[in-house]
Amino acid sequence: MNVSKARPAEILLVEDDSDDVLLTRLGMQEAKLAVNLHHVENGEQCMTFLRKEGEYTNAPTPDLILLDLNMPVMDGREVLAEIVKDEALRKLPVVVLTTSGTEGDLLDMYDLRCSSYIRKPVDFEQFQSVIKQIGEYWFTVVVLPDSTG
Amino acid sequence: MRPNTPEAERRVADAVAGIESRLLNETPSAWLLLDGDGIIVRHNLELELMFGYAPGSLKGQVIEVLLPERHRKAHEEMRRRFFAQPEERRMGPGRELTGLRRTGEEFAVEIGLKPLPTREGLQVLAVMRDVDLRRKAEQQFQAAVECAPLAMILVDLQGRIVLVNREAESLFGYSRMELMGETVEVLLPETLRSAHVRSREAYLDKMVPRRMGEGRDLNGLRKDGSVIPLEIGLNRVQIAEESFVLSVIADITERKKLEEAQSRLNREITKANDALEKSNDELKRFAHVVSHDLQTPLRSIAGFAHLLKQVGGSGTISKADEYTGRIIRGCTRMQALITDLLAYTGIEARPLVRRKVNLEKLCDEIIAERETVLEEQGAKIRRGALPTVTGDSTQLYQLLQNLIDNGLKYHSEQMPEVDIRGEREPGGWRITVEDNGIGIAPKHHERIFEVFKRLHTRETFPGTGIGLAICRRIVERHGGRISLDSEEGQGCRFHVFLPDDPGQPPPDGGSAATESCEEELA
Repeated sequence: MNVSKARPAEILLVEDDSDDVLLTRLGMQEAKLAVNLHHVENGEQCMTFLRKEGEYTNAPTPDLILLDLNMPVMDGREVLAEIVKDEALRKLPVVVLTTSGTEGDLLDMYDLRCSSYIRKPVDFEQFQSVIKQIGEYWFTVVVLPDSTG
Repeated sequence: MRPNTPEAERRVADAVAGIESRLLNETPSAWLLLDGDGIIVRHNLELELMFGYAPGSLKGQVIEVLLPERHRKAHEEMRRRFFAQPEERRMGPGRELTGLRRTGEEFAVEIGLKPLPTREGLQVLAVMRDVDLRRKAEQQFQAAVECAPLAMILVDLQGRIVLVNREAESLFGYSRMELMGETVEVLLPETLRSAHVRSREAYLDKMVPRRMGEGRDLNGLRKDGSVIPLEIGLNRVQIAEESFVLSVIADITERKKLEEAQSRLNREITKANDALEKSNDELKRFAHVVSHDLQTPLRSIAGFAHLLKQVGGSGTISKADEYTGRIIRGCTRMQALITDLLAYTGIEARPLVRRKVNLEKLCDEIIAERETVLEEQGAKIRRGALPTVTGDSTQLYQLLQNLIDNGLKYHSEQMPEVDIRGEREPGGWRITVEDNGIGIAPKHHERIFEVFKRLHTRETFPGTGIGLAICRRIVERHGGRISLDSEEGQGCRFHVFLPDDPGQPPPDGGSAATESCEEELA
């Protein structure tokens, strides 16, 4: 993925759990990734965001989608199925973030051609390292000036 | 050169007479010539051999010496009538008499008669055949048929019954006199008769023996009108040049019952297996869901505890406060999940106590408990007529309570209103709980009954998402089914069908059958 160094990466986090949203956000800060983290609460909002509809008319096209699997309204599987069907969206890299690590989920994911599948660990340090790995894998890591803010 | 002297002619005549005489004497059937007085005027050697007399000793005897004493008088009568009205009678079945050998032994003899007018007046030529062996074989056949432990019916080629054994009499409830001469179709239910005539005729073309168990089973009709399942074997039987069909008939009522019992058992085993498989699948899914949902708050707790530690003394109070608050919320949430899980698994763990439950009373209790809340919210619960059903009162209470609370919780801008009513349906009762809340889009109707499935974030509507899963489990344990009728923004109507007989599957399938099986196995 070629991301211009001139701008931070745009990441869309699709996650219903506000704790996980905050933890992801803090994890990204901790990893000192130059990202703009956008957040939507469910699959429907995610599709609206990606299609730049409604309140998301001015939303950027994300460089990466972090997708939670288990959400109300429209879950991660449905989102993937939608994205795969959509010519304009099917090339977008999607990383599925989920708590369940069962085979069934894995197979579902590969069938739907998500880019990768990462299990959310319970331990926060592990969680942070996962977030960091995502960043290192997908983006140029930009070291930000030290800041306590 | 041909001799033409009287001497030569006489020799020729003698030769011809010799041949005729030898022919008559040596023909393998016995014959005799009888005059009007019943005297044997001529006969062949075979007659004496048949009756055991010395050659030449029967000539001049009265015919009745060849008959048992007891038949003689009657035979004289018959003989006189015959001479008065002579008529040719060919040999054949039924033309039988009992002969008496010189030794006193009686035997069956078949007789053909031909009146012969002669110079001495009318004489009768009687030709005889010893049919004793055949008659004995027939008697043995009849005795075997009679004593066979299976019902047997002998039918001629026209389908008329000519022989019925004791077993057949008791099987069909007719006496043999009633059946003799009837067509065999009298023993079949009306609806099968014409088809049977056709298949009987088709069978006669081939006449291949059909062993029992090979053919189709057939229903028979008894005299009292009852129908019995039969198994039939068919055999061609040749009796005295005539063909018959011997039907061997077994009453398979008992076997049918056994077969039915066995297939019922098989069905039940399959059903139990399916139920087991289903419950196994459910368990797997359940374990998956539970592990997922219990890990989520745990991750929050661990995460924010870690962050809190990082912040330590250097961090701002507000950050520490936020993290602590999230840790506490995570713990509370974990607790709620575990409590709800216990409630859910508790439905299975406790045995179902079935008794009469007055749903009106039950519902009124639930409403009374919510009086304060209702007043505060300005909400209304209207209870229509509800039946008394058979079920577990604790679980039915939980069911109605969850549905009512659900209706109150997911309200729209309007004041929440919940209607509860019961309607009679074939085989059970339908309880409807209707609200005027936000409604649920049809695509989510199945999902909402699953464990921890939620359509809203916790911020919009708090809760774990166990309530409706519990409802479904309770309804299924009662052999019923729960369904939802709703559109987004148009309120919800939850329909609960509770069958009168929980062992019977609900009219359009559902999970009642497997549920009752689980109970039988338990």
